[in-house]
Amino acid sequence: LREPDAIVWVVDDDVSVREALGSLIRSAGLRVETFVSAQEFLARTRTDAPSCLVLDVRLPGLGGLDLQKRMAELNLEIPIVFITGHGDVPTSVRAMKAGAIEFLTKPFADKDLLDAIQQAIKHDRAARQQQAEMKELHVRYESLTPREQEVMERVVSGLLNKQVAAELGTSEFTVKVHRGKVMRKMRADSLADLVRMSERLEIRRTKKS
Amino acid sequence: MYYVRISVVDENGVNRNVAGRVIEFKFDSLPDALFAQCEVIKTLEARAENIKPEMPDKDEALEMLESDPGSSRSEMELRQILELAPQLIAVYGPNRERLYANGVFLGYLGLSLEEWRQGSDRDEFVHPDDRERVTGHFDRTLSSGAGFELELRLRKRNGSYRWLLARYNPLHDDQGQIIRWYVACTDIEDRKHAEQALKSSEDELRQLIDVIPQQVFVFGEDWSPLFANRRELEYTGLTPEEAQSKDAVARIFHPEDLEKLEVLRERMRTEGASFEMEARIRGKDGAYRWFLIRDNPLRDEQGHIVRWYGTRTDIEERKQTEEKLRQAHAELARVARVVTMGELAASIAHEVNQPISGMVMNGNACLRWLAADAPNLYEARENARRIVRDGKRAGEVIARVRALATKTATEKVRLDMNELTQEIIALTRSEINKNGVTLRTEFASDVWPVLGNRVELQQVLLNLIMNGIEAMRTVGERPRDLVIQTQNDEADQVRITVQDSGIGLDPQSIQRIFDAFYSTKHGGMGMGLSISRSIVEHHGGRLRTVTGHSPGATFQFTVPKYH
Repeated sequence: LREPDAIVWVVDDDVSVREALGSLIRSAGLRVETFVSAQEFLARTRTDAPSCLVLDVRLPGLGGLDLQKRMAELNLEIPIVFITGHGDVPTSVRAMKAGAIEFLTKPFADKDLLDAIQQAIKHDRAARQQQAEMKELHVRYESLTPREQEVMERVVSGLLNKQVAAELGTSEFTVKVHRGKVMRKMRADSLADLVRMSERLEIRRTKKS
Repeated sequence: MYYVRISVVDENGVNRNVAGRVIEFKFDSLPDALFAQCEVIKTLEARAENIKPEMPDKDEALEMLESDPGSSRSEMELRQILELAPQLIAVYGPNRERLYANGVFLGYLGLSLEEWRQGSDRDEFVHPDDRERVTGHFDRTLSSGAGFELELRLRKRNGSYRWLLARYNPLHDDQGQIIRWYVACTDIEDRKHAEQALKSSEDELRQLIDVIPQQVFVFGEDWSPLFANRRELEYTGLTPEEAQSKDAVARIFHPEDLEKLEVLRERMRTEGASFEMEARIRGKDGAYRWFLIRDNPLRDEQGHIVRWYGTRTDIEERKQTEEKLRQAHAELARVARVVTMGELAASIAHEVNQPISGMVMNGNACLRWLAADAPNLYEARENARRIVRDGKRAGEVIARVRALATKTATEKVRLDMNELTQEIIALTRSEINKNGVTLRTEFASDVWPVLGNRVELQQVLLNLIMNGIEAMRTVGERPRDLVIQTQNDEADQVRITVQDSGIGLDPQSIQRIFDAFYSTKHGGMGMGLSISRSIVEHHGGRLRTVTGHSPGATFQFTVPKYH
């Protein structure tokens, strides 16, 4: 399964800047879609692909920083490259703290922008990859029976089969069978692999009261 | 007994006939009195012929002379009538010998007939200043033989003089010689006084007209000049004839004002109303000064205009003061504008920066498209086209800023308020965005053109927009909306409304917001609204707040329609 081509979203109300950005980004071989306002961007259904948002700080109505906040609320994790007419320090600090990739002051070198976009896309690709993996791990984990999940919790916390059997009030053999099923269903190559997966899934041992 | 014929001749022997006729009498001896009666003649010669022995004595001869026309009954009757006449009546001999005076005359002089007759000086009672005139008249009558009329002062019995109108009528004999003078005098002292009073009041009026610090005129119905006071002549250097010529105004009025005057005069002739205008008039030194011209019609009973009365008042100093004030005001307005522009500097820089950023990016993109293995000429051309467009846009912003910052022309021109508003919005757009304000414009598409000064009206809009943005700065819970509206109103004016959703106007300060140096803004100069209001009023419009809209404030101003 091949990843779709990367796309760059541009939101800028100024026609000169918007059109120029579009052309410049296209000239680097990237797909571009432009928007006049933050509202328009939010309203449009966007292609599911590795992407990057080039966002003007100062927009009529919903501003650039407001959009960034709104996207966080909506779990819309698109890396943002901010562009601004006048880079005031407090605004850039706020933007970067909120996770922006870059904060560029117009007029900027084309290379700076394109580099930032490439970096953002790479970032997004990685994030999407990670997201996909997590999703897969969750699917695997959800396929375990409750008993298997209980066994997995105890195994990854370092208990021996005998100790697990004692805690669960069953035989060591039964634990062994469950453990084998867990390893298979989770597609873990080794115990270390399973431990890593459980860390990513943030599985903690729940003590029985 | 002598029979005497007396005639009077001058040194050349010509009969001058001053005494009127040849007198013939019989005398025993020649009486001196006969010669005495001819004394007024310079050279006289009495010739005696056929001297008769039965000569009367001197008194007898005089008696005969006096009663020469003969004392008839009709003469007695005539005397009675003369006594009844209210006038002063006297009869003189050909040489103005006193023969008879009526009671009114004698009463006037305070003499009896005898006393009066005995007087020898003919001009005795005549005012010394009038004597020459009287003699002159008599002299002229010698040749013409006609009667005459003259005004003279005659001494009364109490020594005072009164003005009399005297009529002298001669009586001629068959040979055309004057044998009698009949004199009737009417007392005209009162009339003289009235005349004098009239003349002096006229003189006074004339003096007054000449002395008042205005130029005063009388024109005919058709504006032909009939009178101009001395001040006018002194100012313009025109002669009275020039001042009364039809082209007088053309010689002294400034050509631009002359045209206005002529149009106005023509109109007023038909409308018949008084009018006022200001015009420049050239003085004799060649320099023009401003005058206030007022003309009022005078009508006859039928209501037709028969005269125009006009004044021109020198208002040059007032004009200059006004001009200085206007200049000072314009300078203040400019300073305020520059201050506002300073507040806007970041936004304006942004407005210039936007197209420049666009140009740089388009330029870079263009190079990239061309540098590709297969150059994309279409994209490159599009980049170039945008560079040109954006360059123009940057230039326009700079031109607008420069226009607002420099000294402005005072002239008023035809303006489109929509376009003018759009230009100011273009300058403040970034300021509006920066403050998270949503701008809505409601422009009447059929908005009338107005007569105004572009920069000044833009300044008013700039102030109102900046105030609106400022008022919404602290507003968090509701949208920050700025609405700019243009409309035609009922009073032939274009109305511009700027409405914000800000903190609104404090009722306490609403009375003072248009005062100079009053500011509710932190660090505000307090000149914005004061200057805006005077600009609008200078345009003949009004700037005011509109209440009832909440939250926020609404400012509205009007500018008269361009005709």
